[in-house]
Amino acid sequence: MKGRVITFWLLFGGALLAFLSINSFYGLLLTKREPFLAIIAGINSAIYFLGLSEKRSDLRKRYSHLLVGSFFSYILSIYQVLVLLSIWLEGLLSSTCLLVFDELNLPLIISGFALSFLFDFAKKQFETNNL
Amino acid sequence: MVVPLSSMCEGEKGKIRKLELPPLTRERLCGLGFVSGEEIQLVKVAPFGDPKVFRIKGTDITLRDDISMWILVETSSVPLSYVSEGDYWVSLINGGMGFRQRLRVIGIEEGIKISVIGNLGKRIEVSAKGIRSTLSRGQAMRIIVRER
Amino acid sequence: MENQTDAIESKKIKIALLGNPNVGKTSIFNVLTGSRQIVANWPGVTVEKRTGVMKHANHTVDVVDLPGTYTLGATSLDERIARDFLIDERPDVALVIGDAVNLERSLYLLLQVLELRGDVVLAVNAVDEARKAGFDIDKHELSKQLGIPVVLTSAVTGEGIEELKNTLIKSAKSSSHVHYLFTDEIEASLRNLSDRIRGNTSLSAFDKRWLSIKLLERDKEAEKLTGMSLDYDYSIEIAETRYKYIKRILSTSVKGKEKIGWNLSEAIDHVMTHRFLGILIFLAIMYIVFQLTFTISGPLSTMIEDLLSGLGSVVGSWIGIDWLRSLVVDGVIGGVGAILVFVPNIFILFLALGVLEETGYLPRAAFVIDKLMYAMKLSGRSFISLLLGFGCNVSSIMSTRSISEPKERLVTILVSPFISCSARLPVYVLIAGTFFGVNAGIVVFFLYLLSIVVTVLSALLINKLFFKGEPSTLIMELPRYRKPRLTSIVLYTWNKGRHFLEKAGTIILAASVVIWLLTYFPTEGTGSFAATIGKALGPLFVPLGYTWEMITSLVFGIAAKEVIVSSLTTFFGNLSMSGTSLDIMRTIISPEIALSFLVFVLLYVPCMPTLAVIKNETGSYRFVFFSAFYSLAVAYAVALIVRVVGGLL
Repeated sequence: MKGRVITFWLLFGGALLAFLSINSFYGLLLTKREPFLAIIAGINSAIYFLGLSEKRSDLRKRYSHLLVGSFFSYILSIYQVLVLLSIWLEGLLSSTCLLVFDELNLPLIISGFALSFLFDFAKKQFETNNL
Repeated sequence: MVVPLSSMCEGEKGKIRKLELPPLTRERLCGLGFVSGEEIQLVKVAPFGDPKVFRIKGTDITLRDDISMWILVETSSVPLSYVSEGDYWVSLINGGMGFRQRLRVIGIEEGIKISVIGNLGKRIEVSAKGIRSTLSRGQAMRIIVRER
Repeated sequence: MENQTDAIESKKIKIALLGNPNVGKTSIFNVLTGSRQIVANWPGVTVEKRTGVMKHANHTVDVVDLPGTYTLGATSLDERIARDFLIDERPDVALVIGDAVNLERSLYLLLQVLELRGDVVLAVNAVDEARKAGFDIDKHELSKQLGIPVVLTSAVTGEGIEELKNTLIKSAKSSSHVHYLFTDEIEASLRNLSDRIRGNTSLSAFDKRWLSIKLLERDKEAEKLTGMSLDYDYSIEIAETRYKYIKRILSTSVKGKEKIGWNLSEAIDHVMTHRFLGILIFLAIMYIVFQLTFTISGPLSTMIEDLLSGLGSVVGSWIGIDWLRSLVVDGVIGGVGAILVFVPNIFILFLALGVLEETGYLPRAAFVIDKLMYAMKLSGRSFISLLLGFGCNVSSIMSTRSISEPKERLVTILVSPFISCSARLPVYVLIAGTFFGVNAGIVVFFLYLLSIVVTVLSALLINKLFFKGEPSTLIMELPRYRKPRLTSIVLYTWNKGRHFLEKAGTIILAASVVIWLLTYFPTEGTGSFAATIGKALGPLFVPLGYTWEMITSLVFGIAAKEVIVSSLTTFFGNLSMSGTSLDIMRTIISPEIALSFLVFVLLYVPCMPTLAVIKNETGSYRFVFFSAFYSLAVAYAVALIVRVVGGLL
């Protein structure tokens, strides 16, 4: 039962981050082209996907991929917010608003914060010694 | 079997026998708990095979091979390529899904009894679950066995 | 009663903090002293010395944070500093910080301190974590067995800190020295040695038993001190006795559950040091740190720049005398301002590094990348610093503070100016764009590649030159991950960053005034001393084929590499069409000379702020001169090769 749940979430996280990576790479949906950020998101996606290559019986290893992967996405969205903050400041100095909607990369920020719940879930598994 | 710490396999445990190191390094290691009789485990190998992380007295210590090869440990399990003829139990298989799958076909899995029939030259002849097969030395290095 | 004793006790108490690395020693130091702390280097070495003042119940106590060590041998610099401090400075109390989750190793250090001196207090830190992990530590039992006061503390929750302060002050007034016994055989030789040492009056200041133990361990320093050398080595037996003794103590005083499964730290580590993911995650994190330092600080730097230019024009309008206005506005405000714009950069960098250090990620990063750096006789730690050099060499050198091995740190400091910093990019873009057109990108890429090659080769050479080519050993603990605490990180950032303001600032102030003098007198611009210097240096650069304008711009470029661009444009024509102003250059010099000039810009003398920081971090002008002349030689040689080879093609 538990094995199924973890497989689902790893797939979910991996696919989501892979989408975000492609999205930032080509600047498709509500984002501008940012190859480097795309690579980082791609690495994040790899953290999830490589969790699937762990032995199915070794739940601990699978959960640790979920744990770190979700935390990483969370950090990524915080980073993005910081970048936005600096762009906003930059604009403030030259008294123009540089915050274009594409600059926000909202999908990344929102998924990052959403995935932080997954991080909490994985963390609880380890803390309660469930694994 | 006594082997250098550097040639243990990921996840393997052993007891320290001897530190054949210059006094300065030895003293530093002593402070970290590297004394004979102490249990030590190879926890992790770095991406390029060196350095390695060892767990001793509950903490993780990183050593490069240039130090760890001079620390001798007694392990109950050894790579299949080192053993002489006889019966052994597979305790660990170091490898990915593909390697495991290939071994499963010839009857080798973790926890299975395996008999070494011939260990000469480049190939090792084994039999597991009644299936006889030959392994290359490189493959046999990745199969960790113990005597009883 | 209490007040009376306080009134009598006016002598200043001195406390030394000891402990294994990563046990939260610095956190305890922070909670004991608050912000009343000074960070400097230990005399003669580049190891950080932290001192602070603790105020408690009318007592003023000097607290010294000794470097984290595992033993009190003299095998590493850190250990020697800690040991010498205990012997020479004789602090009133030695406070040993232990790790509640891993007491065994902490007690090993404690026993060595107990061999050396009395008045030792043990603080078992991180009890909150230990309780969570299911350990139960009986401090009364521990105290009874060891014969010294024991306090359970947690720097995170603040538990036991008041008790610790009280205990420290109480112990400062007492004087007790406990010993534990080795095997009969060792004890017999200890007695024998003690008797022999007693005869030597020059050694009366030392603890005889301690010296005897050290002699049995074949300790080099002890042998030198006593002039005695034994032909047998008991060090292994002594170490084993200590551990046996510790096991016995712990068996009665600490009760723990059998550990099941993984804890959070192991889970995180599984991915962070993963065979494939480890390096990718490391690079991703470095990218984020890099971006945070150099992009996020952008607007803050602009803000400071705007502020300073505003200040410059305001001050400029007040001063009537031309040369004085130029001195204040261009020389002082401009020169120091060039440094001040780095401030957000430096502080954000240290904030990020502080987080990485506090969480315990840095050793993992070093672990993951170690094999690659080992080829350069460096370790993974220096990689992080070198990588930051692509942004700015100053921050790169500053960040070497997190490298614990002094040898390695020095090599990293000396080679990092070869990493092509962002300030050199404008020069590349301008000149490569003028001379190589569509191939400019390839030229810039070649320069970056060259920068890496020279860095690697220099690391090997400097290692051979100063350290006879021996690689630094790597014995590194991977501490468990911790949640970073804001106060620690802020203190970390401030302590490491403020030196930049203090020292680099003062040196830069002087240097920028000197440079201003050179460019302003006797007449500004092409008639200045600087231009004269450029013309005077001309003969030296004949093999390279540089014109005096280029040489002078190189001289100015020592202040800051970007200056090369502005001086070249000034010398070579009208400023109004700055994009095409260098077209004249094309008629004067050939492309291979331009390329060799770019190579020269990449490799020659580090900029003034970098030199100032090298002085600051290594503590000696020797290395500043070495760095300046070595890089000049390398630049000249490589530039010459480029010119000659380029001329042949």
